[in-house]
Amino acid sequence: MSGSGSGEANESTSLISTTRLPVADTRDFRKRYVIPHSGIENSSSSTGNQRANMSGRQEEQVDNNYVTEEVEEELKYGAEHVIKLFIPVSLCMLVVVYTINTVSYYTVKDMYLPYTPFHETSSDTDVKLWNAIGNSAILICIVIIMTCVLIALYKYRFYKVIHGWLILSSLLLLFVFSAVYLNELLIAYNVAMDVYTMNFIIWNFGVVGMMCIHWKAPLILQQGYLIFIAAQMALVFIKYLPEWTLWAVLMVISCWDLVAVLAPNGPLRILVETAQQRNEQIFPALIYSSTVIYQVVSMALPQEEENPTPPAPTSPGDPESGFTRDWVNTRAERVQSRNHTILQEVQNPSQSARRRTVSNTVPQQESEAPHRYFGEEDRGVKLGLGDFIFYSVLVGKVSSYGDWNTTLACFVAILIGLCLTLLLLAIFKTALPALPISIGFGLIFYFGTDNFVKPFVDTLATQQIFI
Amino acid sequence: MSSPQHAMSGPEDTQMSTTDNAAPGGPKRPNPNKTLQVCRYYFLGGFFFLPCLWLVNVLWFFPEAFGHADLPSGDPTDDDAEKETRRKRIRGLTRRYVIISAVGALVWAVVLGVWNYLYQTRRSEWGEWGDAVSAIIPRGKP
Repeated sequence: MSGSGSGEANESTSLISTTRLPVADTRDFRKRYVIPHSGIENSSSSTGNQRANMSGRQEEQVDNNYVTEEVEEELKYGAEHVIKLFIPVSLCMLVVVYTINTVSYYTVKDMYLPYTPFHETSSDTDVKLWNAIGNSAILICIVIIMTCVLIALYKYRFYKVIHGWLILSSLLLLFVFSAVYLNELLIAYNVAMDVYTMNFIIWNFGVVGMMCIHWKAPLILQQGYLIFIAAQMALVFIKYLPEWTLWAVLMVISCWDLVAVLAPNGPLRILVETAQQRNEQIFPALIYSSTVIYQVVSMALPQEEENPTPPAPTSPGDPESGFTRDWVNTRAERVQSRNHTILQEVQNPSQSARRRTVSNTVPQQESEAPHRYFGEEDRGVKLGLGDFIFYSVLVGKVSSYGDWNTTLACFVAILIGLCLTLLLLAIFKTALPALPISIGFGLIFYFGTDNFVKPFVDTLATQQIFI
Repeated sequence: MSSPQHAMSGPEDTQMSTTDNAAPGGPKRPNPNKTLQVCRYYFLGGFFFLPCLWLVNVLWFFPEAFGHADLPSGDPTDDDAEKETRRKRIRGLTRRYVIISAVGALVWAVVLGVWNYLYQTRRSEWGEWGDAVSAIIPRGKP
């Protein structure tokens, strides 16, 4: 890298020396020549012929430098966003792991979904395996169907239907599931709570959440709510899916993610491309964004004059019996509504301007420079809430076995997977599936640690061997 | 639901949003009128037993209402007196909403705090009514 760089530098210095510009290396060259170009332009009007003769080659040179620097910049920029995504993903996992370890409600298997008709009650491994495969096949079919329905609705501009669907499901999550969660949390800590305060908390929490997700609110609040929703959904999966089925579902869903995003006619790819074509943002309830621009754009969607507080149930009643019905009916919607893609904001006009500059002449490049920096501030990385959910499902499930080594291994594996995905994102600059690498690593690390590393370490410990 | 006019309203909305976004000032400083409207909705929404909305309103719009007072907007067309007065009016209204919201949220906090203090300390003394009012009765505690 450095060798080629110096080679380039020599070449460009030789080029420059012919034009008698007093610069020694490429960086310097750029600084003195490209950026404050206007001065040179004016002064060089007398030497116009000379410039015209060699400008072609020189531009090429400048462009090369420009490209490498741009890549560097982008990687640096990407690293910043890795951190920006690490925090929410870690927070989501933390909430789930914490809940799994404090609230026993979410680890007790007393109910199952109708989508998973096989309950893995047999002790026979073969039967369990078949149960898991059957369950996950049914679930993945539902996910595929729901995804296709959503894409069709989006494609044919049934925005109202989609919004209604999303509002309904977030209503359910924010009120009913939050109520159950609060209830169980208080029971776990054995704290007394009166009805009024409880209803008050749930009502306030739910309404503020609805306003954050579907209307306007400070970005940080919205992000918090999205993380909370994802955590709730992950807890629900952990509670209601049989053990083997859950692992099978994780595997299958990451494969589906791969297909849905990367296949030429994959539904999520269509979703992303259509959204880019229409120059609009994907629905706020589906995607976590690390920057403010998405919120500003989506903020203006509902323009009604009416009061924004949505009519919502204050008291969910008896959550145990009351919620499962509704919940079961819309669960698949939730699964599907959390469709997962990382996507980078590409509709930013300055980005295309940037692309253009690479092949453009020097003066224009200079004029684009301020826009470039402005544009970079706006660009953000987005992660589908589905990714949050399934990452958390994996870590939460692992932590429910009570082994902290394995939990940490999976946590790190998922974050590394996310890192790699973001790296690929910086390279390919298209929407990428965020599940396969992370979940793949997570699964490998879980089964690896559980089956090989842990027995190995245990044996070492019992035999008093130190390595 | 699937009538054409409904299907059409989606693109209209997005059109509006893109024009909003393109407005000078960028995403950080949206149209002051719009800001005022959002503030107002939050303020009104708070009356439905939603002091959390008031709290958000206060925290969110406090800089708008009180921060860097009378700072010129930087827009050169903003100099004329009419716009100046309009800006002042918007600022005044925002300020009023924020203040009332803050007071309301504070009142709610006090009320809830007192009630919860009474409830947590005297629940067992209240006997049957205390149980009736409880959503969760802790085990093993009086």
